[in-house]
Amino acid sequence: MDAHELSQGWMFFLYQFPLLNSIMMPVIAAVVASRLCDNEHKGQTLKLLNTVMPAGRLFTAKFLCGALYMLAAVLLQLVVIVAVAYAVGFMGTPPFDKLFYYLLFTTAVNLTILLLQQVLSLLFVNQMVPLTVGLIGGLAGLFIMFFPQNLERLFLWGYYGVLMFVGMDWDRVTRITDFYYTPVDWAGFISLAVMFCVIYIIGRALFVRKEM
Amino acid sequence: MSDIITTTGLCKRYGKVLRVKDLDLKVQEGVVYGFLGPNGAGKSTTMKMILGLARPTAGNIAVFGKEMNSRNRLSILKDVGSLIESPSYYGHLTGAENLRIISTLKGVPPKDIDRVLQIVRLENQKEKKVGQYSMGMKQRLGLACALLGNPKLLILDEPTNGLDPAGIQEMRELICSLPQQYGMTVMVSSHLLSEIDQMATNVGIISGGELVFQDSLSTLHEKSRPGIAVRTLNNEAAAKILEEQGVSYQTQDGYLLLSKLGDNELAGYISLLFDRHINVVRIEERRKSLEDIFLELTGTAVSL
Repeated sequence: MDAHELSQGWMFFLYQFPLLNSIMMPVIAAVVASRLCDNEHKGQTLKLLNTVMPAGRLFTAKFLCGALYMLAAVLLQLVVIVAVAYAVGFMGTPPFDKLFYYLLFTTAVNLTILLLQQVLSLLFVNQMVPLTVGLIGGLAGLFIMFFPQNLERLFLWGYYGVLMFVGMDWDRVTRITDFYYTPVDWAGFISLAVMFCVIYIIGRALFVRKEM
Repeated sequence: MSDIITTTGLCKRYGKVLRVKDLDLKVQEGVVYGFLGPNGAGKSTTMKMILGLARPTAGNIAVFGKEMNSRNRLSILKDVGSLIESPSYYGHLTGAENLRIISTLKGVPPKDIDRVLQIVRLENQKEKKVGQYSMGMKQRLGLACALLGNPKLLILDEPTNGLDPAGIQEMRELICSLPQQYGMTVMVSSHLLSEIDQMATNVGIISGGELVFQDSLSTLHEKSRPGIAVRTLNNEAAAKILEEQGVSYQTQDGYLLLSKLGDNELAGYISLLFDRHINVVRIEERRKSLEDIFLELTGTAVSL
């Protein structure tokens, strides 16, 4: 890497990882949610659990368990980012605030997608349904980054792009790529939080009302 | 004896089909209540409604004298053990681990796990993964789960499904012993009449979602009044003679079916037939089997 690339190393990572996440994380979330819920379908344990604990608490417990896995995945990514940065020798001190935003936004999108996947995994016995949603969502999330941001905001899987705070400028003549920080889209973060609440309330109610 | 379960006008509709219609169940304390019905009669649906796993379309359910609703459901179910349709288990965990999960959720001390494992005779298999259990062992594990915490009421839906004959016998003996040994009330469903006959003290028969009989098993047996079947070489002439004597009869499959008669009375009629040169070739006592009664009540062929 040349000096220019090393000076932009942190931004390069904070630009590339959300792109990677938009494909990878929805699939991970779908698999985590499916694994956590499918064992209940396979063993037909929901009808037993529903006689010994409130269904709503089970829903929340499952979500918290899945959330730990998703948080661990992002923390692992951060460790990799920092380790590679030091190994390669990125210039400047680590942008702790930006890394924190990355952790916050990636986790927030991950958890919202995980929540949706959990609702689907609990409602559908056939896990191909939620897994297909996860796969299609991931691909569509990446594709929708080509669309205007207003449209991107309507699509849950597009939020890795909405909450990205690094832009890229590619000079066709010099073929030099420049990265730059953009303002954080707090409105996008709030609309994501609203989505989370809506999915949580509706999904939990659907699960609680589900007859065994 | 007080009623442990009472349902009033219980109905359940799935789509346009009313699967359970105006069910008024009464399960008394300390009995083994056999809930009998052909496949698809609504047994499991009723049991699920009692456990709050399905919401009734209409009607009320009272368990331990308390009307059940979404708020008090779990507090009532603390004293209820259940095994619905098929056993619930985590295949990747051992039997003991499965029971530990349920005992934690039920708030039952861990030492109870060994007790229930002993009751269902799984103590030697407790460290084996449940995925490797046979169907019968899974069924017994399901029963062990239901027995955790020594509940006052057990609701068992076809608990002998998948068991071999020895297992069925063992399960029956166990269910029969529960009221005396542990003071439990057991509601057990089956589509097998003979099974209920051997286990239950009280019976509810459901057919097409409707309760067609509910009383003690002895009352059901009383319905099976014995009769006498006589076969002669000339049934028509014999029938005329019996008519002359004022004996009511029915004809069926070449037999004359008479109601229960005293020995002397029957001997008199038979000798009369001989006197009139009618050769009697068969005299049999016929008792209406429980299957016949079941058929009469449900209008459905019983599954055997």
